[in-house]
Amino acid sequence: MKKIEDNIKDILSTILKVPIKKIDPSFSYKSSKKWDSLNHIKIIMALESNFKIKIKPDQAVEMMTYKKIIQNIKKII
Amino acid sequence: MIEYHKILKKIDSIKRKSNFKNLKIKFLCNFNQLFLEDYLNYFLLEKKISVKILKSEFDQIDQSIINLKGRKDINYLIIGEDINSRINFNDKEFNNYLTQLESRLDNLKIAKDKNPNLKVIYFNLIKKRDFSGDFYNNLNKKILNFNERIEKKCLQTQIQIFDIQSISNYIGLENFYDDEKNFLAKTLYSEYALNLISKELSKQIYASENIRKKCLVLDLDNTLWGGVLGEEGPYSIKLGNSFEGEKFTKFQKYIKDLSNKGIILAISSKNNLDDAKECFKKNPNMILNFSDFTSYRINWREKYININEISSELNIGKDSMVFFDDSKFERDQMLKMNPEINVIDVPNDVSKYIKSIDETAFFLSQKTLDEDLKKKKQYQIISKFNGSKAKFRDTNSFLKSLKMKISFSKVNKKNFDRCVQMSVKTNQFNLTNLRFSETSLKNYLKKNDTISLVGSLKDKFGDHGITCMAIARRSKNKFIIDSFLLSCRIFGRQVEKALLDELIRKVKKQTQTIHGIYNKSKKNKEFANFFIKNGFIKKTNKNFEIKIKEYKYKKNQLFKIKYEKN
Repeated sequence: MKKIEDNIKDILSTILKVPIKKIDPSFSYKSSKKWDSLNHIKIIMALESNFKIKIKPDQAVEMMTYKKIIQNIKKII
Repeated sequence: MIEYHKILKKIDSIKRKSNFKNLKIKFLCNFNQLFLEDYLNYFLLEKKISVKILKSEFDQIDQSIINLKGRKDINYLIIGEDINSRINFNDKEFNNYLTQLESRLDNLKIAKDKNPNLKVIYFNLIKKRDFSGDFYNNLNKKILNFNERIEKKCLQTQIQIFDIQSISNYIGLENFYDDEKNFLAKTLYSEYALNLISKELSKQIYASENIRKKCLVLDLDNTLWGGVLGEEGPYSIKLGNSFEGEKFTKFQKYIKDLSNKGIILAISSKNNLDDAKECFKKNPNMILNFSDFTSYRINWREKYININEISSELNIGKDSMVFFDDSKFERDQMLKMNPEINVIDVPNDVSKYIKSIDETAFFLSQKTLDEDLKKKKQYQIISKFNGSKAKFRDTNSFLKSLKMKISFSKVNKKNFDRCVQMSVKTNQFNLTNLRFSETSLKNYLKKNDTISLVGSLKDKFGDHGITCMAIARRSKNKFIIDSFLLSCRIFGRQVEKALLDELIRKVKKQTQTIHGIYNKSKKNKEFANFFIKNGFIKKTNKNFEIKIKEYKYKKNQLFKIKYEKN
């Protein structure tokens, strides 16, 4: 089984077209120009479908860094 | 249902090959179509259509339609108006809203007139979601009436309706929308709804591209019937009269329907030929007849070799063939050895066989023409033709023995749809590669002074139908051949020479010079020298010229030529 972190990296890498290696704990919307509002929505949708969860709008707004995504996903599942 | 994160991965992993069709699509919606674009992209890629989605503004439908101003770089304009993303109306506001939507269709017609190749897909209205009391009851009746009205209007203007309402009825409005996501991003639809909408939309686009596949190659054991014929015998295979047998009967009925719609059927099966023939003849529950199959290879050889032979026998390109076999081993081997063949991912559950073909849209076409219905017969003729050819020592005496007759007419009302279809579907002997839509051919003929020849071929084996076309257009004191094509069904008979002879006979009354155009593509390379062989002089890589008095007509005519009155 893939770890939660690996799944998240996979999603960020696919949507933002960033090599997985470059996604380190400090990775955030500031690290990639492609992480704009539209791609953020894609990230949220992909996380929901990957983990089979529902992310509330206020949580979605918070999840603008790799770390915050991990924290929130772990809280939800 | 395919989940969104998987869709994104798959879009990245599918390699866009050179035989993929490229389309540019622009959405104009009153909701955020972000996910819909990704899903549609995936389902079209699966059908070998590569899509570029053009940017569009959110909820600016009417303004954007006006701003199109005949833009030529869009193949499809998809208009998505969802009533449930509008705030609530009172009765008067609602009537105004519907009037506004109807006038939108008028603006779309203007946009289509300016760009005849533009295809427009228009979502019909989904019922209002906040269902409470008489007002909404009345409102939903108005929506149904509205949908009926626009359907009629769209028929006249060749705007395609996308029946999103049926999808919402199918899964129910509660499952159709995703409220949380809507508050976050105005994306409206649930993952399940997005799957269904884009799958259907991709099928509609595929069908309107007129690129349906020509031939379905089927296995026998556990495909057309349950069990192994060699072991169980013709009476004990599973077909009809049992829970399992009924599933195969239903599948055979579906295949028979495809055949009636002009799809050519063939068999590639590891079996004894005599056993298979006997089974078709003797099993009382058999829906398909052995004669429904135009070509068959029932033997113990590798199936990829068999399918190569079927392809040459019928003169059908491998990318127009679809392979259906319950064995994963055979399917994988086919994909590996013959990657151009379209291989259906056959499910284990027999009751899902039909769905697995339907979902590919391979055999969907917006229009089934009379010509399509004759195809089965015409391919049987090809099969006989190839068999008979082997008996003759030289081609000329063989061709003479065929007693060929061509009857020519202009492009007219009767053959118009077939002319459009040939211009779109003919890839091999299509020298100019000029593709016409219905509107663009109409406009082209209206705007230009043209001479056209549409030919229909008969020989001793039967009627091949309308299979060749040439159109030349006057440009000052010369004529230019804008379209010159021949269906692959009649290759090897020298029809192309007869077509050029007749075209030049027609044109010579009006001009002394004619130009031939050759636009190179991957599939028409074999005919690159056609004009040179016929005495034309190369002006540029694409343009060839001949003085009509220098043109040499074929002696010893192989054809009886007739002209039909238009």
